[in-house]
Amino acid sequence: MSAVLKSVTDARSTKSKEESTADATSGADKKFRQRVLILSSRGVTYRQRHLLQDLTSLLPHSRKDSKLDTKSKLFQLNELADLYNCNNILFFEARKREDLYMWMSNPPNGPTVKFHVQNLHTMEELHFSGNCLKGSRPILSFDKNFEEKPYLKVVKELMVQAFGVPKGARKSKPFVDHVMSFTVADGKVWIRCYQICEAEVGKKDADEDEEEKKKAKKSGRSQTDISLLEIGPRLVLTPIIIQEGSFGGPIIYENKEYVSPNVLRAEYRNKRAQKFNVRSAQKVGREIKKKALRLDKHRIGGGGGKDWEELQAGLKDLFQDE
Amino acid sequence: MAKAKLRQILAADKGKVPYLEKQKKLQKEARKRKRLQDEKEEDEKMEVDGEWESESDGDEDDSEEEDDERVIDMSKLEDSDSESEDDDEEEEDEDEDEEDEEEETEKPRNGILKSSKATTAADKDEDEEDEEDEEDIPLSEISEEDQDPEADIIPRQKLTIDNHSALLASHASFALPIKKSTPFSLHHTIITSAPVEIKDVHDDLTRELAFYTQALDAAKQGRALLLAEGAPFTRPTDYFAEMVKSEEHMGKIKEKIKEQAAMKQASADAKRQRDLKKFGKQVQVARLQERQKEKREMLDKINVLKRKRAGADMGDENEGDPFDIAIEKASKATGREGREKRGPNAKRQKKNEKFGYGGRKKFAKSGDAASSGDLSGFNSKGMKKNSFGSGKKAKAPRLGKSKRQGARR
Repeated sequence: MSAVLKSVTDARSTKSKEESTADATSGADKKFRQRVLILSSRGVTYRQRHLLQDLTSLLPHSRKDSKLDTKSKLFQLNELADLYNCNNILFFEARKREDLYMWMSNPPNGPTVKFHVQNLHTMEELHFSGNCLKGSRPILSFDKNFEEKPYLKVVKELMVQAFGVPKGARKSKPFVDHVMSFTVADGKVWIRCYQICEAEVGKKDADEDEEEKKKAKKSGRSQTDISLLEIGPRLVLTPIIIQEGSFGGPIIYENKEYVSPNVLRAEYRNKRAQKFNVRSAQKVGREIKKKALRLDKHRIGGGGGKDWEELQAGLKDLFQDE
Repeated sequence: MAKAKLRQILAADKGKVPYLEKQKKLQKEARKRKRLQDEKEEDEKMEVDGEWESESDGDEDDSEEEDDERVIDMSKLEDSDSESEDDDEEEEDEDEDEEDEEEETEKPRNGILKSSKATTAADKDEDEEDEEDEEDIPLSEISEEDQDPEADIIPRQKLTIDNHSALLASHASFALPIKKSTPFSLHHTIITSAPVEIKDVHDDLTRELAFYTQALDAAKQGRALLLAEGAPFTRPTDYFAEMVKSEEHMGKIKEKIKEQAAMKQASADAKRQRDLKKFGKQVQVARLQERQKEKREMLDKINVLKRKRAGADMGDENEGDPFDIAIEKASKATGREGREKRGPNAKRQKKNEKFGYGGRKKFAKSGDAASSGDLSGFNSKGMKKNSFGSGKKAKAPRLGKSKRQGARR
């Protein structure tokens, strides 16, 4: 028993050692190859389309494809990615011309995350004064929160691969002039994109702290002030599920806090409908009360007679129903 | 086992909550008993010892026995009686592998734990060990409920899937091999040193500030790292290339910014004007009052002078001229007003002369020797032009070219 265990563990440790050594030798100069397939389903609005456009312009290693016809057979995307040599998929699924879901996957066998996209603002409508080179590689800034939970770890890794432009990508430029920041807040992932503005510090300041300047020179840095200008677009992503496979396989994470927009809308409508229901019920109640008190008979000249009997019968029916 | 537990939990969620506590207690008792039994059997087994396969047959029997016992225990309960039986049957159908796994979890229990309180804590550790050992079962089949049975019993909570082990495994399967030794220029990813905390997510200003500071820190760090590695960072000023936003787009943005600035300016101006208006009204009132005062003073002076004149010569009929002169003397400083008081203009004077304003009116229009001798009104040319209506009217002089062209249009 123990012997078997030992042999198994031994084999495993040697295996891992081999792997680690192999990594150490090849990892240093190994390039990360990434290619992202970006596409949407049918029925996207112009804003959602513009978001796609923005993303493709920010990601030089992306391949934009025509709209996918189906919303149910998403596994077809794997074949499509294979066709275009892509190892990342960003698929935007639009529903009801208002809801947007983003699928982020790592085909052929990596995990898939489904996000609900909210607070969507494209570059066009934001009027931010920031701008950057088309195809320059962004610095990806992640919140520490991404490391805290396993599901966020997976999300982060997917984002690193999809949004990080690999070194030496075909259309990429050698300079770095923008930052993409990913922050977790309120159970959602917030995405922002900023331009890096460098400005030389004025000479006055430099004279004052010359020592610092010298230090900076030694370390190979000149005195510059860095500020940021937002470029756009803005996105908020709510993770809904994570699947083990690429557009398939078992669900390994499900967000219980996520509420579908359909449910929200239905609730809202119900709430409004409730108002009418209450009012109409009151109206009926008032009518019954009035008749019971014979308020409408008083004018004509006393109750009784045929009308009165009819009313009694009607009331009886009413209460029997209840 | 896992499924059975889950079912129970679900059943409890459906509204049998009051029985839950009782049920748990009974379960614990059952477990205890099981363990005691196991110990006995275990001892026997240890003597025999051997490979798992050979054991498994016997173990199955054991587990069945255990199950039977448990069924009896459960039958005391009012609710999940039949369900648990079903579950047990299902379990028997399931793979043998899983049962192997169970044995392993139970073995250490026998040795170490006997108090029911510490079981949950130990459960976790054991499960983690299991995950390392097992290979035949897909990771996704191990759900969290296995690890911590009491965590999700809270009623009304939606059952969530958060399979840590599977998530970590899938992360490991596709993660980029980024280590500390890999150069930053390869991956360009920076993780903040402390988690970003935003007090109120719905407050735009604080939220955006948090994002900004996070990005700024990353930019600074990244810049330092890249420069240290000798990778290019800053774009040279003579490097031109296509930008993400086109010239046209940037033009639009500039216009927008200008417009906004203008709007701001305009609103500020309007505000200032409003303030000025309040102040200006007071000024205007003051000025009007001043003017009126001047006027009054003027009239007073005139009246005074009039009275003086009246006192000096009463019977004088021809008052106009001398009065004017006196006024001029009094208000020399005013200048303009004095000129008007000099008398009627030239035309009036002429008319007065002609049609009479004072003096004799008779024979004023009749000719006399002087008028008949006056030939100043005679023009010989005029006589030639229009006499007898001979037809030829005087031709208008030819206008300049531009005027003529302009007239055509």
